[in-house]
Amino acid sequence: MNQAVFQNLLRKHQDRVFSHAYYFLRNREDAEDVAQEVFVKLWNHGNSVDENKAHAWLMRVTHNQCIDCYRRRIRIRYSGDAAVDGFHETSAARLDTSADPESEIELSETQQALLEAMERLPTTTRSLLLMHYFEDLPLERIGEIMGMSTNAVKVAIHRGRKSLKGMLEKQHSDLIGERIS
Amino acid sequence: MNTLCGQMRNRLDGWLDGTLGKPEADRVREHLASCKACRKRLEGERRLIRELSDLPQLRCPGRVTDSILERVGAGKKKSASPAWREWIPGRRFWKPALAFGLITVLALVWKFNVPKTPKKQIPYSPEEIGQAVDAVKWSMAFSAQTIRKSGAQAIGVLSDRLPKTIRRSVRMALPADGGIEP
Repeated sequence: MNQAVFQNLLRKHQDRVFSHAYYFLRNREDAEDVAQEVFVKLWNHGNSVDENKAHAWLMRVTHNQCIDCYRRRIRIRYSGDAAVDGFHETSAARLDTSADPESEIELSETQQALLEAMERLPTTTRSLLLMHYFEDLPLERIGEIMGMSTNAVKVAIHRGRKSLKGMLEKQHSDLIGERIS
Repeated sequence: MNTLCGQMRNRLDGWLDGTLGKPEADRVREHLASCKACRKRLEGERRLIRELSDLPQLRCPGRVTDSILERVGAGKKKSASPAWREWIPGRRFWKPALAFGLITVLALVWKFNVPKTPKKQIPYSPEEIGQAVDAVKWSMAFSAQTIRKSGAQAIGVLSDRLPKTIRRSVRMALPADGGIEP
């Protein structure tokens, strides 16, 4: 892969990769690290990546990097007792985008609650929901990216949505609509 | 929640995805028209999807882009290099090639500049050599005298058994009048 092709792919996909990582991890610095790693990997594996399938490749690598970063963060967080106590506080602080002066992110209250709830979903489900609804990728494409059957993707997304709705109904019934018995 | 609502709710996912067949979709539509609870549920699902879909696309910070380009060596400085450099074969390998060249040069320099080790000198002083020569001469003279005293037979026997070099030395050490046949 030559530099021109790489820079073209970087320009085209960097926002998507960064956004996915940010919504997955809900931490700007981690999302920046993930974006860097993903594109450095693209450069290193340039010869084996088909330019036309670069998007699928990038999304798969982004997902893997997000999981790595998430696990690393969990390990660090649980390495000390004091850190365990601060888990939820940290989580809430990360969501407070106004604390980040560089942030230009404007999320609705519902979206913030949604992202907070998503953090409690399994990592794969989180990625699937982001790919399907945020990135608007069809189920078949997501299946190719994640190495899953279309049906498995569909089922996982439905379950994820159901879990999300359940969590939001419990905590933010005012935001997502009345609880339905 | 009645049984029909339960059946319909299982189909709401398919309805939302647009993956239901026409007869099923019609049944769901009919049910939704008449069931407020299912309509509310559907609206909740739609809102959830809408909120997810409406998450804003974020801009990757410029410093991240710069850092990526720097790490892959495709930064501004490099891209500003003249185009002809692209055509130099193996330009990616110039560093290993340079290292190899340096090592070769160093090896050659070492090979031709290492001082030659001097030949081993016998660590004897001239006095010691003089003493050794005297001792040999004395031994030769003693051997020659013994031979001369022991008679012609002993001479033959001894001279036959002596090495050629010793015989020559003995002859030279003997007085001129009483030489022996080697």
